[in-house]
Amino acid sequence: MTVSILVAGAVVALVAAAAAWRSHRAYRRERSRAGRLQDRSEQLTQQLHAVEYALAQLTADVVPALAGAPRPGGQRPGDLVVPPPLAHTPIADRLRDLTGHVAATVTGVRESTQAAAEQHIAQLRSAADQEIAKAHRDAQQATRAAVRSFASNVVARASRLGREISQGVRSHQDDEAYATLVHIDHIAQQMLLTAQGYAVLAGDKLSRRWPRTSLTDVIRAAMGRIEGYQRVQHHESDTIAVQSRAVEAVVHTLALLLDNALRYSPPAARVHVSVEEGHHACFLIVDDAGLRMDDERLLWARDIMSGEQRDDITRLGAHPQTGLRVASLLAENYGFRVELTAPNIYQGTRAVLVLPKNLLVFSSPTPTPASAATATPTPASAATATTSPTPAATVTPAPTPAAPEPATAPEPATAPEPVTQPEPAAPPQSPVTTASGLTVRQRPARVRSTPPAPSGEPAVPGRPSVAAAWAAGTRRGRQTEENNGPTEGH
Amino acid sequence: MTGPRHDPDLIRPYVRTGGRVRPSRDVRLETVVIAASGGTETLAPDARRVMRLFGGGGRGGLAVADIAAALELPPSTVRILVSALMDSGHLTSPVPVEEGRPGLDLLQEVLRGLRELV
Repeated sequence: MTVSILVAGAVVALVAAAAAWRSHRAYRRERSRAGRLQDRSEQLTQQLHAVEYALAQLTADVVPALAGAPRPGGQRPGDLVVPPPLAHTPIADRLRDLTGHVAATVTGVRESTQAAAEQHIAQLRSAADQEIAKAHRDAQQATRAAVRSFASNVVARASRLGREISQGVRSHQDDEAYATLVHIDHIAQQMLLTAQGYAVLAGDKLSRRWPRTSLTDVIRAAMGRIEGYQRVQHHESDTIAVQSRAVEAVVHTLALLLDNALRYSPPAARVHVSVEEGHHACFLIVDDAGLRMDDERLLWARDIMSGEQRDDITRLGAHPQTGLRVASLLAENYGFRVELTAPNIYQGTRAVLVLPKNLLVFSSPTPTPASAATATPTPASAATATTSPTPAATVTPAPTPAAPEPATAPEPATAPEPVTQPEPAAPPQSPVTTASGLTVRQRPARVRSTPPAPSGEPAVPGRPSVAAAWAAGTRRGRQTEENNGPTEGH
Repeated sequence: MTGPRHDPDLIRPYVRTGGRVRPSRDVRLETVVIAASGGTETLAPDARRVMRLFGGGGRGGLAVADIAAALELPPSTVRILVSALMDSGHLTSPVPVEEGRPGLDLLQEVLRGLRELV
């Protein structure tokens, strides 16, 4: 019994021990699980805090920074800083994705807004520009029309004044009258130059026409239109002439260049005009000893000459400098060129008028009479040295009375140009002598149908005493005729 | 009348005379001048044209009015040109300038000559 009790006791103790051991193992297992769970929960808690922190950072810093204006320097201060507990977790990736999406959306919205705004501004601006351009065009047209009307009116009247003066100096022989007329003429010519310049700027054509004119006379014609022409020294070139259609343009342009040269040189200094003949063109060179144009001014002048800002009559400024603009326009319209260089040999400025050969006519330096009637150069035919490039065309066997009369020389714009200039005497005006030795004097303006006396005898001046008496007689006769006949005026 | 349609003077008279507006001496339209010595190369264009009328000199005289007609210049311009040429010795007057007008017998001779022509 005792044994059995002991055995039973031992069995119970064994069982208890086994149970205790098992429970101990279970306890340890449970405890370790609880520890792992606790660790996990702590980790989760930390991650949760980190997410909270990251979200707070997102809402407080990152998104406002993205929505705000991009800061200079390229650095993006609003970048999300991933807290260490979230490193390498999907949440971090999602958070980064979220940031990226927000940034992309903000950028997209901003760009589209900006584009829309820019488009709107551009539309507004182009509309405003169109309005401004239209207003400017209108103003320009109005100004142009006004200037054109005014200037062409002055040109018409001043050139008529010039014609009247030309007639006046022929009909009045009184010294005082002549002096006064000539003074008035000089002022009228300068007025004409200015007015014609404005007419050209306003788009008008040159209205005055001249016959073919030698370069010498072109230079002298230009001198007549400016103040201080006495200071101009010029070469002579009688063998080169300017075609009729370009004479007025070349004279006007040269007058402007001379005026410029005189204006910018000392009051006593001379201005030199020389003529150079090149292969393709002739050059009228105007040299002054005045202030040399500085580089800036030369550039400006070349801009004007090349047509930049040239045609806008409303941009002349408070002190209009029209000279170069007019010269440039005329050069373009008539096919020549104007060039400016500085310094020249006098340390001044040089202006060159380049006349291409299609504007020029070349003649032989000495007249070569073709017919026997003019075999001996008569005084008058000697004076036509500059006029006969082709003798065959000049001297016809039986000149018709009306053709060579320069007083009624046709407008050479359409018809073939008259071969003679108006000023040197044409064949009918040659002094011829009568059988008694008197010099026959023919007054060109009133000659109607008097062909030259077909005399084989060379025309020579008459004896002085006889000629004097004759001249006095014709003078008296002329005065009577003028008193009776139609007078000048209108 | 509306005045001349064409201005005969592309070159204005004051340019031709170099700015002089009065003759330097008493030169009239009927004054007759003859060529004297002197080269014409240095002369101004119009003075040269006047001298060319004399065909090289020694060929007789011309009245100022004739010169004006031949060159188609205003008479007063020619008077100034001629007076300048007389000053420079290129032209001289065969009759004393102060007399100015021919004698009665000469006029009668001219009258007779004119009547013969008519």
